[in-house]
Amino acid sequence: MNFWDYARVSKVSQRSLLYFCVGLFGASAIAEPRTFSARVGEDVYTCTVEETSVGGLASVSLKEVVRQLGGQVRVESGAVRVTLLGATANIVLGDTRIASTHNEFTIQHPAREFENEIFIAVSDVAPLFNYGFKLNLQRGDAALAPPVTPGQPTVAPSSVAGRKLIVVIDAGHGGTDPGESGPAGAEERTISLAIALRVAELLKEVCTPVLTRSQDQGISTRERVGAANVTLRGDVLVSIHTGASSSPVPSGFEVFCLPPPTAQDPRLQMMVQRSLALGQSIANAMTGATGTPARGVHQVPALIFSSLQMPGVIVETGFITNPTEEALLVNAEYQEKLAQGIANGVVAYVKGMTQ
Amino acid sequence: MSDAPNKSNLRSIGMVAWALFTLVLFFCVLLLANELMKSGRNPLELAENVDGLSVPVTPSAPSASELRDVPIYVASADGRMLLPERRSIPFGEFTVENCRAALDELRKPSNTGSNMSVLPASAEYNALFLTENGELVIDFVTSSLQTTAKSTGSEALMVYGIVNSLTQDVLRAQNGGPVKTVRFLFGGEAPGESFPAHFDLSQPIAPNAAWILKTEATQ
Repeated sequence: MNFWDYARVSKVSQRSLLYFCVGLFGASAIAEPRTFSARVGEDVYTCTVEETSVGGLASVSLKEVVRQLGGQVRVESGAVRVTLLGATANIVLGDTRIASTHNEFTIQHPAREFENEIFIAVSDVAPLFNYGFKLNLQRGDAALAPPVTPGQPTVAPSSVAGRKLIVVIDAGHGGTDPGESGPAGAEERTISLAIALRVAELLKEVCTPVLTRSQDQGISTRERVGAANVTLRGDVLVSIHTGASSSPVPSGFEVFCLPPPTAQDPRLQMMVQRSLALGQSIANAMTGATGTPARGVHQVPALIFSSLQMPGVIVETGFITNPTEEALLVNAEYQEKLAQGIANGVVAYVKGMTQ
Repeated sequence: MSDAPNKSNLRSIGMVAWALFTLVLFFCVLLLANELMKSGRNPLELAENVDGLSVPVTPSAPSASELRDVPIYVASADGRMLLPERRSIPFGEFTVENCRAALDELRKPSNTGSNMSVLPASAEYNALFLTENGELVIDFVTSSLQTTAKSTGSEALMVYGIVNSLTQDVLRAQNGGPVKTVRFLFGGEAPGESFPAHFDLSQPIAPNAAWILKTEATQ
């Protein structure tokens, strides 16, 4: 039985086969026009665009949608900047993450460029404009109906694209890598895990905390970053460690953020800004929880930041090499204070981001 | 009758051998010049200065004995920031020699009892050279840094202590350009995850004044 016989026997329509073949070889105009509409106060926004199959995915031209909604699109070296209703959204081609003035969120399918046109999946149009521009865009002309009455559910605080923010909690070291150890024998891997587990517990109600490890196991930095980016699909990352010095004198906690961007990449710039905001928020909250001022919030090119695709921070909770602080770091009550401080910092950041 | 072709063949073989020898010699000279340039020396200037072939040129021996005060950076007693300390180094004709002398000073204990040197006294390096684009490459002996504290903060102090010290204009000599960045190698290879465990040294590092404590002396 050859392919065409199989197609006939399995009742695969010629149209489906055509879609399949077109999907394999790129983009081709196939389908009908799509209408989207939104109402902002008394203003009604509508757009009708032709649906196109791009790589087998029902898509529409982003430029055309934005143009009809009254906005502008600028494309610069792989990044798309959409300006609409006084807000801006930065989209990186091939990436599902969007950073806008209002929000940071993900769409289901990455935007793609084909023949100087930017395409976005039909299913992603409403989420993009709703979370990125607070437009409440709907498929069809439903928005032309009477205005929405107040009291209807909106995007909940601390949520992104209709879901809770995913906070990746990374307990440093583990397994065969104990990290640094204190003069009395306390190990960084155990302290960082204990604090990370408490932070995850404390964040449960507000965010979706996910751990890179929940037990004493060794994971490489590359694996941690890969998990945060791909498997766990985090929105922010908090990596928990202890500090260390060749001297027993240094003490206190410290926060490290993404380094200044080396390229004029709007998405990277926003990530760095958010990393700093998160770092400052955690440092402030930890000061409140422990009663000790932070040693500082620094920007460093840390290994864990090198391929990270979300705002991230490293929290060094205290110097394990300082005998007094080592005793505090293994104390459950003090660990609770540290965890509370980190969790409060994350919550304050999340609230600030979604307001 | 057969002598003439034999002689002609021998001459051809001799010419080919001579050409090959010349070619090999030419490549050797090119490689040598390249190595000299990597270490921040200009081979043409060296050739002019050499009085005959008997004068040895050793990269590690300073060609001038003038002592000069230069600042190097040490970690403050609380391990938060970097502080400058003045050290006397033999100031040579080559930037890379001055960097070597400054790097040696970075391993020595701080002048004050409380501040900390950014490198352990055990720190050793296999090689130090300066590329044409101002990248100073230090190849550390990995095992010699095992005693270094491993945390993001302490590694940042070590890295920026070295980089901020070695990229100073005061180390620039008449031969060799300025040091703009420092690339770290460990055992001849790019850093792995074992050390440094937190700081990303896959790229050359530029100086960062944010780690220097603002005092009257540094302003």
